[in-house]
Amino acid sequence: MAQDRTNSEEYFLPIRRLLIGILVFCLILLTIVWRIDSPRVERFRMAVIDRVVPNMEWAMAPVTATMNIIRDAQSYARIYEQNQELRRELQQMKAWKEAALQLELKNARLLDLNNVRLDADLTYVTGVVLTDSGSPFRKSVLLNIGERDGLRDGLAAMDGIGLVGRISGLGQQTSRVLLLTDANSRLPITIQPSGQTAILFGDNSPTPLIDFLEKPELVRPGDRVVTSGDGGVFPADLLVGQLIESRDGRYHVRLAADFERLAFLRVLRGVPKEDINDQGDIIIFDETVGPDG
Amino acid sequence: MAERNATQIWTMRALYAVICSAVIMFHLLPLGQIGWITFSPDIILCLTLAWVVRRPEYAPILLIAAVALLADLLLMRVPGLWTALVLLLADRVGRQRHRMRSTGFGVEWFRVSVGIAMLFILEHLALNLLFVDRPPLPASVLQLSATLIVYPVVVAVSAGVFRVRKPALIETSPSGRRA
Repeated sequence: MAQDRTNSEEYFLPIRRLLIGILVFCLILLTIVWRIDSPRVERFRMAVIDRVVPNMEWAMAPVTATMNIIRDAQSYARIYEQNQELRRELQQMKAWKEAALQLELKNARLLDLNNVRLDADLTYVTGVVLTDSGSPFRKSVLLNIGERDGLRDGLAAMDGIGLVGRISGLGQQTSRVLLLTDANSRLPITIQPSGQTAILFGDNSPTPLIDFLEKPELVRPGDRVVTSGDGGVFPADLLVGQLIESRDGRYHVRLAADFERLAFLRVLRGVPKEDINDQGDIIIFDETVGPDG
Repeated sequence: MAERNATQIWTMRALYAVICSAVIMFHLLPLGQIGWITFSPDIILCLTLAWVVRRPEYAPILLIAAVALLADLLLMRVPGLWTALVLLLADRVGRQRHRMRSTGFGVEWFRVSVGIAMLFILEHLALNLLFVDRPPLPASVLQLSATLIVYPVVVAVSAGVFRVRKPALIETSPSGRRA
């Protein structure tokens, strides 16, 4: 309409339509590329996060501190009971500390006797949690250690007590840890003392689900759940948590790690495993041997 | 007069970028399981639409695209999909703003709500087409409702605090044409 023409601002010229068309086309292309070749786009995403997030850290620190104070304020109401509880726990811990020291001494003597070299799998790098994932449906955290600290995709991450997740996404100075509670997380586990293996499925709730359990009658709530090391994906015998039974009879795990307050995570370094990049050729071509053998 | 307007425009654009970055940062805060509740509203979308209806020069499309794409990448969403939808809606709402100038806020809220609802539906459809794992539908509906409810609040704050209001009928745009 002629009226609209004379009234419309220069910001709505046809060139704007063209620009928007091009932008939308490129963005849809990006989405399709993401669907087709997810690892490449995810690496691009990690590179962007790697550049942007450490710079935001200084701005987020005071807000995080304030939020923590507000959360702690809720527990100030129960200060007296907490104090008593903590005193009792401290007594127990002291007894355990004595036992641990004795065992450590004994262990060192025995290892020394056998000249045993500890597996490189048991060394670790410690990192600080920078951010959450930013979406309530993707449970992951960002650590401030990355490729330049020697990390690789798939390494296990623990907090002081139990397993927290695995590295899935690497930048130069940051890395993303996919938590056990995320819907995409699958972990082979062993339930002690019966020694049965099962799979731990994350389902976005604080207590992941156990499935593929062969003999459910042999397990009881309270049993210790550890990683089984199946498939060489994770080291074995890492503490995951305790078995609990939900009201509808299914087994879940109450995780030993404190997911509410993830501050420092240890990433367990492992021995470099083979990277499988190709499709798996039937005919293996040996490049060192020529056609004449 | 023209110079003051040019500085003002770039200041407001910078302000838009800063506000959106702050919102993204709040979503990234490491608060444990509490984090952000399942139906947190999409404030960046509300802010973009509120500003496009009132002062489109403060939110040029390249800036909207850049901010939305950054949000997509940082907040672990499917990259590009939400950004494309937001761009299309922002353009459409911007073109319709003349019709909304004289009518009240209610009509604007209604039109914007319809637009945002279409956005959520299209996103849901696209993710189903691409066979991507989606959070459950009730959660999306809750998020949509939260976004629609938050829109008037965002408009009020934009008008009151940031002085992003509809230009008066006799006001001119920076290049001298009638706004």
